[in-house]
Amino acid sequence: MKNQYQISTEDLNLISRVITGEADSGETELFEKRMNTESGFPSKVEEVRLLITGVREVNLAASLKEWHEKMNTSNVPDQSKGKIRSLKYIIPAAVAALIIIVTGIWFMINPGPQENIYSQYYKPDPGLPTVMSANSDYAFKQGMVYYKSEQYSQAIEQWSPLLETEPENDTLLYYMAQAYLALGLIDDARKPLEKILTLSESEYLGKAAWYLGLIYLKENNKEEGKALILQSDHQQKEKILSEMK
Amino acid sequence: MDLTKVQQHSGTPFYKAIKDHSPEFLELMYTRNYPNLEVYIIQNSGNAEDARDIYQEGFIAVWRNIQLGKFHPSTEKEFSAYLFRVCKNKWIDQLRKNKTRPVEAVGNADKLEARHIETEEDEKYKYLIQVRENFLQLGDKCREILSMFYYRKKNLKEIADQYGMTEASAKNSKYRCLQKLRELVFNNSQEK
Repeated sequence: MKNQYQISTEDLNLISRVITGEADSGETELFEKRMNTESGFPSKVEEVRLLITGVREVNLAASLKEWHEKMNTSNVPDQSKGKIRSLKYIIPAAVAALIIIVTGIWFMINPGPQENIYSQYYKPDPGLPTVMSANSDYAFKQGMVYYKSEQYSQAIEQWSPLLETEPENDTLLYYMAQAYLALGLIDDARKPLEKILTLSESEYLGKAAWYLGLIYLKENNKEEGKALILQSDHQQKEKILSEMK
Repeated sequence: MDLTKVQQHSGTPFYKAIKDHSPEFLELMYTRNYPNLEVYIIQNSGNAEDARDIYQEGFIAVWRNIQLGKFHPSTEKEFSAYLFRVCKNKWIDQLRKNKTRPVEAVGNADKLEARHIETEEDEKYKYLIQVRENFLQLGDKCREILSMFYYRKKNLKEIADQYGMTEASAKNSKYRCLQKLRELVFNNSQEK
């Protein structure tokens, strides 16, 4: 890197703000314009980015040592229990009713701190607008009508065949999970939410992470819950994280 | 840096969390991914200390590649698999250097990937190493201000409060410290 050019305070602040995500829309627009039109600007940006990355890297290296000391290897969570996406979908729908009873009893008898957080933060998704039309979305929209009128089992019945033909339809997966959650069928909700998290381009990733995180908290799995909440884009993300400390 | 690719992934919560550099999230990722690697290294002629060293080196290499736009993990699964491959390749390289017994070979794809991320000849990588070295030559206050702002994500008000200065002064100090670091890197690279 040859840095014989000057970087003014103004430029340094602009570049720094864009890199750290603090820039407002006006600054971002100006930044992008200069990236496209000003020949020396991209080099300045690259250099500032490397400076900031270097500062972070030297700090990260120090943190790794601290984290490792803190991490007692023998207490590292059992990966066979903990790996989010590697969980096998082993619980058949046939035992759903039993699960409701068991979790219901557990809920009444032993609401732990994470359980309270779940109760406090779980709010069902309000659903999508339903303007009915005679196109291929009809079946989905009919399910949404059931969902919005809180007829969740009918919504599931309506959507289940659709999911068989479109197993990666993220909207369908998300609202199936919502319907299960609304019914208290936590384990049935888990599978579609986990599926969404494997779909890297889904617009429901942030929401799926939030609800799956809440499920883990409900099960008192604070570590997994926190990891997912951190990935969510929910407006109460920071609040729940601070309460978990 | 492939800006288009970055933009495609910019909406992914996992990518954002790790790219935006939340130390808390990084710690979680560090803690969760270590056990598998330790098992692998212990099963392949190493011990827990080897595992720690390889893992820390690999973790930083992967994190750096994310920061430099060379790797865009959309999910934790993708991140973990990549981190494991990087560490595994580092360990295999080290065993080869130490001429210890052979370990389970990795596929060609892994070797190519290892080469891709191990861009030690890369100019950017060299510059980063220089930044790391020269950062340690900055004064205590500058190191702390830059670390607070860029690593611990403290805002200017928090920095100002800590040093009993105004926010404008904190902003100015941050700028001067970054410029100072830039000069140190430049001057010391000229001397070499």
